[in-house]
Amino acid sequence: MKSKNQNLNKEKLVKKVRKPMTFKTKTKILGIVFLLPWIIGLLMFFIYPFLTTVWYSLNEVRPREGALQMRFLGLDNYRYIFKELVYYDKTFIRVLWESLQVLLVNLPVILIFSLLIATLLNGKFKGRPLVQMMFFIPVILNANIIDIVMRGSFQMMFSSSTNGSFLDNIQFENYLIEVGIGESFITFLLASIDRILTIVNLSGVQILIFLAAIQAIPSHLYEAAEIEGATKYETFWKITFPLVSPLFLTVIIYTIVDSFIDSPVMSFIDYSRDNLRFYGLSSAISILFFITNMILLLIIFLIIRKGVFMYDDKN
Amino acid sequence: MTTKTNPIANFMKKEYSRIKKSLDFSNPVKNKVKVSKVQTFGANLIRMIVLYGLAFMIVYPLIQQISVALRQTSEINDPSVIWLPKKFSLDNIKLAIASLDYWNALKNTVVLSTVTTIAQLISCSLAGYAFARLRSRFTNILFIFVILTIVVPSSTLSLPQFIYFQKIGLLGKAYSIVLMSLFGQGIKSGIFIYIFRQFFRGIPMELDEAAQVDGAGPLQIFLKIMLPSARGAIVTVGLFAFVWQWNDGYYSSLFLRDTTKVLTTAMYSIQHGVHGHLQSLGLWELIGGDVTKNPLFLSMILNTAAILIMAPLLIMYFFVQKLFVEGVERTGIVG
Repeated sequence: MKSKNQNLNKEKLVKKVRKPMTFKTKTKILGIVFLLPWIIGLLMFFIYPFLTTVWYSLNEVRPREGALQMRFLGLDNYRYIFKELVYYDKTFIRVLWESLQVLLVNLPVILIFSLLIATLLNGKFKGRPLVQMMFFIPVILNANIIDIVMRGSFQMMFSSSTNGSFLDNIQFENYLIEVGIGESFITFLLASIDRILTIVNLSGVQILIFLAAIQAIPSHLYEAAEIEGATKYETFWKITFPLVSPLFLTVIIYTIVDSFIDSPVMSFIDYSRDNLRFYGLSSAISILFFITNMILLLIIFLIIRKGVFMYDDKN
Repeated sequence: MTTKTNPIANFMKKEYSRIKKSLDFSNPVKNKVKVSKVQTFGANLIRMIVLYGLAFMIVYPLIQQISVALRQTSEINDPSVIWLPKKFSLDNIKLAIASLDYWNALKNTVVLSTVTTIAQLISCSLAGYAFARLRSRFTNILFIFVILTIVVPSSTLSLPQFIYFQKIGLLGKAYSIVLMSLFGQGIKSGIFIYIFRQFFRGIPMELDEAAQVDGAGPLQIFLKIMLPSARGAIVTVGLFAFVWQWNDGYYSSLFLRDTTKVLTTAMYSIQHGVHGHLQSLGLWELIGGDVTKNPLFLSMILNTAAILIMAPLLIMYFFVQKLFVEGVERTGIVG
């Protein structure tokens, strides 16, 4: 009995002496410390504004004499949007559809194009550093500012002053008609040729991501395939493509997020906010825009998840 | 006799015999090697045509813009001027500098971009490391918010942010944008956190364990082992943060208003009013009437202004482009 008591006392004594923190608790504390600035930022600049926008969208908000005048409306803003802007006027649905359409057409093209270019850029050829450098110029160019410059008569002067457009569409079109290709196909072809520059300019970061992915593939896989006698085509589909496929989601999300910036919906929201001063209404529109994008992302995520090959889960 | 004196004929003959020797159809193995060589050559040729062509398409408009910027105004409509102007003139550049208030705006932009880049690097590397290595159930839930900050469009948040900054009196000051970057909510911070997280996850666990056995705490591991080996991620994030801040017009025009001019907002403010701007500076009368009557004159100034805004970045890019590509390759955005 006595000895047991003594033992208990001993244990108490040991507990009283402060143990140094274990590595695990230290790690936990450090994790919170490291995340603290980000959590504060999240609360201040993300969650608070987001909830405020949701609240505004349920109110009529008008700036008056420096202060905001609020009147609770419930779902009236949304009802108004669906009634006036979707059902009668169709402005909103048209603008939304326009931006979705551009996205849905551009997205696969950007995806395929950037993967193709990354594959081509990967090998060794003459002048690779130079070409690589040129391909990433769109990443640093400011598309907005170029848009401001290229307006109206200046653009016409621009293309005519320096040697004309280097691809003369009309001649090309005539040539294709003579060759005997269907007219609808020609329009499609010409439209895509017109858009090549847009696509090239939009896919700088995507090419960068894919290039990084391709170069991260261990070279012994390719060597093994070569020994087995696989052709380049087979190697691409059996090795490169599956190993790069996890990045499709990253690239798609990046492309969609990137397209927000010059989406017509964004300018619509900004216009109704800054010029018309319908804060409540513009908040409701932006919430709807956010929801549409989330639905789109969710659909794409569900489609992609099944098709993606996971090399290993690094968890 | 002629074959000896004519070098071209000589060369042709030599080549012919070489090709004839190489096309030895009796040996199927050699033949196959030849065919595959031809195939690779063809594939390389197509690749080079595609890549060079597209690269040309990217650079072409840029060269065009620069060429137009260096022209005299009288040469705008001159069809005989194609690439090189007849007379190089810096008039456009001088006018664009004056109307943009270039040097002031450039100074502001450089300072703002540098400071936000450093702020982003600090906040995003800390958060990224916490999400990669200092994990708990808590951080796993929080990571969903990182994805959300990437996905939510900025116009959904901008109005309350604007009112918020108005309330605390930071509107029109660069501190507003710096503050957001410092707390990990700057321009595309979510993506940077994601990059850092992926990178730190890619560093082998054995490194941590070895350091732990040697008695290092988690903070020491971060400072002495992780940060030094994260050079690739730091370079990539730094470059992107700098470039995106430099090119950002959305937040700058929203939060900085007209009080702190950066290059993009300066451009936005002159886009409809170059004329008025030059008049208020007293430069309009100094330019000859025959020049100012030209409807393209103002667009030309705008074009020059755009070149001036992008020029520092482009020049910087030529020096660091290797880092740009290699950095991304080493970052493991991929993992």
